[in-house]
Amino acid sequence: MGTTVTTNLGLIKPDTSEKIQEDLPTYLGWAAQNESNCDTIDGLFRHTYHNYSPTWTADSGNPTLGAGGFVTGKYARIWPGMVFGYIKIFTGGAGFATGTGLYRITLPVAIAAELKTFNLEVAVGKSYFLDASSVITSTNMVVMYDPVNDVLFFRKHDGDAWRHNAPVTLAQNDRMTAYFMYPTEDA
Amino acid sequence: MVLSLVDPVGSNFIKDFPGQNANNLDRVDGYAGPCLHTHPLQTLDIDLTSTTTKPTLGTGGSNTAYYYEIFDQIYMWGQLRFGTGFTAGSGIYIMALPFSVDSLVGPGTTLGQSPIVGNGSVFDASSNAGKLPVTVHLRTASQFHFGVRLTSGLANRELRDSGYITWAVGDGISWNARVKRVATV
Repeated sequence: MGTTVTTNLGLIKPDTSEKIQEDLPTYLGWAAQNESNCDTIDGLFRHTYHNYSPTWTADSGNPTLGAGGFVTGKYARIWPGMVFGYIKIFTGGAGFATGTGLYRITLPVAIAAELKTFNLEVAVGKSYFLDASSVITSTNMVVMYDPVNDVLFFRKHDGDAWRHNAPVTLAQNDRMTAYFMYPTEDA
Repeated sequence: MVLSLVDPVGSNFIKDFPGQNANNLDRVDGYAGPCLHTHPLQTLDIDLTSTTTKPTLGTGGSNTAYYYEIFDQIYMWGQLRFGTGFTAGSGIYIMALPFSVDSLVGPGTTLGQSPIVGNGSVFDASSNAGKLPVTVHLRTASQFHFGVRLTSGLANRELRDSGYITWAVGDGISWNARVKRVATV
């Protein structure tokens, strides 16, 4: 009794010959079975955000955050094989150093193996760079996945990528925010 | 109702409940189970064409895309790259999908009226300046086209056989998109 389940989710199907009431210890009854099924289905549509600490680097020398600076990230598995997430960077105040070269950010979860076979960068989101000292040099960027280095980088409006000195030389109190979405291996 | 679930009605609904409930659970499981329990990325059969003459990819060229389908939502990531001996064709570049998209959003051939469903980047193998961002638009219920950022030398709004970039071996397009598929349930 109560041993028939659906193929994928394991939902308990009441057998025709079963009683409604429980018959412990072997049979929980329809109420308990239905409760279990409802919890299973409900749990499929819950997506919990997780914190992650992105590593921010540059390809010729890493930047250094200034006082109060931070690099934060959050992500959620929105389906078994997909991740959606956010990144925020604040360069901070005194002590900030730009580093040298192309800026990169690590991923929270490994990307699906299929996308690692791409030999070009893969567009996975959008971002915004805020130049604290000037409006006209703030800009949108495309978040790209680099299959060679297994990191994210940021394609600028003019075709080049976000670097320590492009679109402008990064300075204290500058900010970047991004979102990304990409497929992963099944959780 | 999308899944045609059975309502427990009738003069003897308690007696009929086990069978009805089992039916309903199987329908929910069949619709939601595969994509919510485990769902591998699938290969998308996509084709590059154009409004006038179809381009060819050449030796070593590729037009690869993968998709992730959750109910009627399709998430896609793709890459086009030209190989040796490719031909650029002529006209506006179009990506043809193997399925139809819900056209409620109003696809259109005029770029400024064509809904944006994704974004991406041109890959210029010879110059960073050529790696401009693009927007992915729904041209028809089964086609994308690409909008290119304004830049010096740009002669057209849409990505084409020519314009701001003279395509060469190793050049290509990287893109992503999200669409709602025409319901099949």
